[in-house]
Amino acid sequence: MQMDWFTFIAQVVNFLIIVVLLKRFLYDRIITVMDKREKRISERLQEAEESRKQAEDEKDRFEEKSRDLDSQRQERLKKAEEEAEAERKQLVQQARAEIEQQQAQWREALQQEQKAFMQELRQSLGRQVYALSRELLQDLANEDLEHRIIHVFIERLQELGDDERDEIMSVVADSDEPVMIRSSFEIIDEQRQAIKQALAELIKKNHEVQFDSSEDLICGIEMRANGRKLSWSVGGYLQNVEERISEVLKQEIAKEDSSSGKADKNSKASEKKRGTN
Amino acid sequence: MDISPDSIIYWQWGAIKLSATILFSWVVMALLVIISWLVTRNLSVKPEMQRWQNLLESIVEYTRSQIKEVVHQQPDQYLPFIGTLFLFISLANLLGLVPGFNPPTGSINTTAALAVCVFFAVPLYGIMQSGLKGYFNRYLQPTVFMLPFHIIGELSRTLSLAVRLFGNIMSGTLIVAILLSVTPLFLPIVMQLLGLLIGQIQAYIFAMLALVYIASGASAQQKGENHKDEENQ
Repeated sequence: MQMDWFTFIAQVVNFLIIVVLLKRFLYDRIITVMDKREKRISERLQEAEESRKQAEDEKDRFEEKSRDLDSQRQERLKKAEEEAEAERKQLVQQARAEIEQQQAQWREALQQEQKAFMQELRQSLGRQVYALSRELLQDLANEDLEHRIIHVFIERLQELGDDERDEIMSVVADSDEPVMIRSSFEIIDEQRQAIKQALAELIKKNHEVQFDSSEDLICGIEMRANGRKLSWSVGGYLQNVEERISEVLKQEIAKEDSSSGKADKNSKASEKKRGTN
Repeated sequence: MDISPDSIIYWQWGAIKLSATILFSWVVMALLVIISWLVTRNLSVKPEMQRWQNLLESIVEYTRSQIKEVVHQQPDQYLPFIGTLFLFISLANLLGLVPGFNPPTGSINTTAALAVCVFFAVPLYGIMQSGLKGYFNRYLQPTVFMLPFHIIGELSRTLSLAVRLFGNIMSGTLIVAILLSVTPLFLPIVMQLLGLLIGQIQAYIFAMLALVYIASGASAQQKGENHKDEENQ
């Protein structure tokens, strides 16, 4: 073993050369590549992390969207149900109203018919009663009856209330026209005198009186003075009878209506109207 | 009996002589450079790579991690020096198995040259790290009187480095030579295996010691000294 200076220095140089060469060909390259790879891997990881986050965000967004859609759908369904329910109710109501209207129309028609029928019945009844009575009374009429009629008329004149008497008095006093006494038969002079007397007593003064006869007054007598009229006749009674019959019939109809229950306002109104007639 | 590669001289011109030491150093260097060049010619950044690239990456990465463990800082500035020390010594010792190959590390000239390189590398790295003034101030710590001892320490550890490697490798070669003459058949093979192991261990020790010296010079840690003591035993 001995130190050889040339070899020693050559080895130092050799070593320095190999350090430089290896640094250039080995370490730098390998480290660069490893760093690159590391960087790439970390980039990949970061990318993966980012895309994972993105995916998560997307997922969240979609979930939220789907929740929204669900709730919207529920809302719409509910709304549609409500609308359908409302529509159904409306339809039912409409149908009910239509039915009621038809019912009312039908009832009104029925009532109209009834009314018309009753009217006709009443008129015909009245006419029949009137005709019958008139015929009967005409057949029965004789002097005694006429006498009696005049008697009743005079009694009536005497029994007039103060108001009526004052009215007649003022009417007769104001006019120059004669007081007309009409009857269905010829009045004999004696009776004429009695009537004149009764009238004079009534109006406390003598007034001209004209006598006349007319077939219209069925078995009766009437007094006219300046538009005022005082009468007694079977015709009046008969008219009264007709009115009463119709009144009774009206009441019957009203009873039927109220017992049938749900008569609508129109029919009631018409009923009332009829009642007042 | 002298089987130092220095004694085999192929060509000589005055003081300049081409000994086996220099020749086989060149062989080792050529192998290292050619393999590195071939492998790093087309490196792959992708995870799929050639097995040679994988081998080199493993070596480099392991060396880096070793350096990092010792110096506790970015290993890349120490890597070329320390890594080359290890690779050169390791490959030289490994090739000692090849018949006719005389490992250049068996020459005191080679090991001394490497030790001297370390000797100069320590202040260089120290100055790079803490500046000229900061580095030389450390020789005066804790007092001025410590200066001679610091200098003696520097020189002695350089000497110990050189002699340790030389002794180990030369002894390995020497033992094989002696055993060949005594029991020529099987025992030398076992000793070759032992020599292989010793060669790798020495490569590791040399590199690590150099690193520890450099690190202690660079960061003023006494920890490196403890490492040295351990390795010396």
